[in-house]
Amino acid sequence: MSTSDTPIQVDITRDVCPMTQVKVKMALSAAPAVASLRVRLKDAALKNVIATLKADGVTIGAVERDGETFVLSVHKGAGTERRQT
Amino acid sequence: MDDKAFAQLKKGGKMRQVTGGLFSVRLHLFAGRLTTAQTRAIAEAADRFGGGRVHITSRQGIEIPDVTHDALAPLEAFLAAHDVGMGVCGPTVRTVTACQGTGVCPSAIIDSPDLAGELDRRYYGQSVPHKFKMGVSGCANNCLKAEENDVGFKGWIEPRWVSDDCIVCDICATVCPVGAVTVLPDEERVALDLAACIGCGDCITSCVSGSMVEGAKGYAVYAGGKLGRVPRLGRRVAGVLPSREEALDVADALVEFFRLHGEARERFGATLQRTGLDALEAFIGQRTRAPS
Repeated sequence: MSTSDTPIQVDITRDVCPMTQVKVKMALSAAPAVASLRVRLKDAALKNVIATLKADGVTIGAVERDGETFVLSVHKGAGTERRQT
Repeated sequence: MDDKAFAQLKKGGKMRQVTGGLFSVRLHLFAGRLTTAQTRAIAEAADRFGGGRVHITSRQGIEIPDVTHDALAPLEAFLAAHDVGMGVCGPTVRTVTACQGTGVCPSAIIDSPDLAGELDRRYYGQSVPHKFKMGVSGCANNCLKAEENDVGFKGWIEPRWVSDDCIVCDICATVCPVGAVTVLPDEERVALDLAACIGCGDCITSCVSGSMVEGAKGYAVYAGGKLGRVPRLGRRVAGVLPSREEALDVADALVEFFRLHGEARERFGATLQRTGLDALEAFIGQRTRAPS
């Protein structure tokens, strides 16, 4: 079982909208109440996936970039929230 | 019937067809909205007084073709009894188009049908120097093509960058479709080119740190657009108008300007070419409190 110390890897770099959002929502739903996820995605998916994550009330921390690929560090659950936009 | 009589009928939306002494009858609606009762009445009218078909126009309008001259008055009376009015043609304010707006569309920023309804109430069918079209798009996706109208409105969100918590991740610059956002990591700041911004709000939606926030939000206005033989895109005038009332004030000013300066058979864009856009901006400034 994942904990906040062992991030769940979610790779949606080969998916297109709306499956990008669907897979992120499924991963969030399946994750424990408190968990960290690393969401790997292409730039084209950024807007909709980030909007989905914000709507689900999770926190996005660090952002890494490798060319057209981004990795979002996502924190789910009580005690991890920062200011939401 | 003489040409004058035909012209009078045409102004009232009853346009002579090329053959058979028939008319295509234009109906009054705005924002492409009809109740089911109105829709049924139009269908029945097309069966009873026309040829059993309707024509959907390019600007969310409906015409009933194949109506004989004798059937024009009964058709009009029948539709009036079902709350469907007659359309217009000639040098008048035409059908006001609109998308579904905030009541339906998740992308919409403004209540497009609401604004279209008020524009319709104020101006539909009124005389102006030449045909005059208005349209309302709820957001930058611009489904109702604001720039192709003599006066067009578009929902708009202007971003504002606040440095608090910004992690200069470059997502805002990556998602911007027009390169209006530049991330300067060495200076740990973000630069915005609001002249290039299209008001889509993607940079705000995508900001993970809450550093890109809404600035001005509301209605952008375009003036002088048209399609037809010589297409011309409308130009943005005034700033981002925060309220429906201010949008309507600017619409009032634009129509008034056209009435004052427009010449017969001259579209609004041609008028603005003669007067210069600065003259219109100055006029808006005098008539409204719109930001420039």
